[in-house]
Amino acid sequence: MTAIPLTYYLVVAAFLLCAGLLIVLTKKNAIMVLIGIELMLNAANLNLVAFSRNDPQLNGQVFAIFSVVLAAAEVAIALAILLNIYRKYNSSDLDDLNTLEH
Amino acid sequence: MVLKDQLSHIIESLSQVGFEMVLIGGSLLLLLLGLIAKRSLVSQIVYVLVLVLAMTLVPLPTDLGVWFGGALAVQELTWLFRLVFSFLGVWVVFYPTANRHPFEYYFLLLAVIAGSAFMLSAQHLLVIYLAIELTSFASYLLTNFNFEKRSFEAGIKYLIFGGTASALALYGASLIYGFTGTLLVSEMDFALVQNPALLNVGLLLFIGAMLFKVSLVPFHIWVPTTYQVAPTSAVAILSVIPKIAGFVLLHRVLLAVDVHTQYWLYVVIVAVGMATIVIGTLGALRQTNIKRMIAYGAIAHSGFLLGALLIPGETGVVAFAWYALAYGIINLVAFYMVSVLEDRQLLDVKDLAGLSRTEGYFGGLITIVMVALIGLPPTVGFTIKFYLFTALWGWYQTVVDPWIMGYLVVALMSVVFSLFFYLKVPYFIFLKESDGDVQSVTNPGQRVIATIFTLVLLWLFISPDILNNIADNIKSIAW
Repeated sequence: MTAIPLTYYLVVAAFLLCAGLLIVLTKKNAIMVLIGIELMLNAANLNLVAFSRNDPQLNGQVFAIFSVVLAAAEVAIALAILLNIYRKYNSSDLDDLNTLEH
Repeated sequence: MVLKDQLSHIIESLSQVGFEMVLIGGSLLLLLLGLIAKRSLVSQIVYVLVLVLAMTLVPLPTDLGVWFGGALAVQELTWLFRLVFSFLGVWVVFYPTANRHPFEYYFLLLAVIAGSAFMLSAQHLLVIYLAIELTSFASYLLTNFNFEKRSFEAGIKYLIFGGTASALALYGASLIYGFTGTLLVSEMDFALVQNPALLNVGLLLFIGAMLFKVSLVPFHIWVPTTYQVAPTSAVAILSVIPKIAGFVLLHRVLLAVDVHTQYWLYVVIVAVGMATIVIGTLGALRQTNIKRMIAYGAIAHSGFLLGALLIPGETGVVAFAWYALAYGIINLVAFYMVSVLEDRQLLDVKDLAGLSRTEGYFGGLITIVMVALIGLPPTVGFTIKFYLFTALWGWYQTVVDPWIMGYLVVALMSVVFSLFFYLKVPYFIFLKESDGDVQSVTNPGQRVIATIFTLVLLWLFISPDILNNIADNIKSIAW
């Protein structure tokens, strides 16, 4: 079986990053924005794992495991804040959060 | 290396991170203790004890080196700023709102300090990422601790912006790893890469995470909103400790990249610094809320600190260390004053009109703090700005680089403009007449604490022995 070339992984990862960034920039619902951030993190993870193929110590794979755990922690914090926002504003739409001056 | 050697290396290394271990262990202890003893005083005492114990465990500057297989580099600056962080961290328990916060608040403050302490010595991409995220996550949570409608709003905005910045940085880190083949910053050789376009993109994205932590343009937009609604004692910590740590880390990365040979990166950094000073100063001009005004001022101060990173050699490191230390002290004092005023709902400068009739003494102390923030004598603000400008001028004469000259001019102009907004506060206190009744703001205890805090600013100007001692200890650093 021939191995898949490294470039293919990089292209998929770059696509995931761009898709995630686009979601963060265009979506108004806070949950969707969090999904976008998650996609961007996974793009980086894919890159790390793909690159660690050339690394006998597999540093990249270890890094990816750490970042998966951190992403989960970040989402936990975000959902805790969002729960409070939903109670106060009755909405999870980021456009409704406009009580602070600019 | 066989397993036995690796284990003994790790055990040997552990003695060097006693400071961080005490902070993490102490914060967990605080969390457990908070379940039993509900009173805030208990958690404040534990918080102070943890910081003092951690301070005693900082290894001496004679005992430096690289530990954990290169992941942590303990240098003179690490030693200095570990001491500074634990020293500055203690001050927040004197703030008038200290009793109102639950024990989780102090747990999160310890987490911020621990994350920043790791940033001081991290030179492995994974450790850098973990340290930045530890500081960020605790900051996101601290923003919410007034539990008002708008604090949650600021919290989610901060989190989404920070999350995006850190996701991009992680992608950048993965590209750096792929092109250099190592996660150790010290082992990276950027000159070896044949076609560095993609690597440079990764480098820019990765540096973005540090710019976000130290609130440099274009990653500064979270600062005013967060500082405005977060509890003031948390703001005092957030505006000082992660920022200094972020600058030390940024400098280590820039040194590894060798910024003076990569001209494009040098121009980017200089442009970012100048834009930061301009935007911070102009933004502060139109603020009437004191907290937002000091927040924009803090953005401008970040630009000044970045200037110190551009100067190589002894003058650069001394300028940076002095500026960071004095900026930390001035900011803590300034936010103490703000915290006292906030306690009486006096956050808009217009509310301060005529305050001198009842609070002439306190108004005088505020004036001294504002003078220190501008950088005029007789405060330590003048000492550090004067030294920084002298160092920038000296470096300009060595290299005759128009960018450095531009930086110096922008910084000097910023000092002139900052007269207008910082002096707005004493102007309203002393010269404006109020329409309604003026109430007294402070109690005697707060006046004593404010006096002590302010005297520190004057004392460091009159006898800068401490600053000179620091300079003696750190000027051998390869900066």
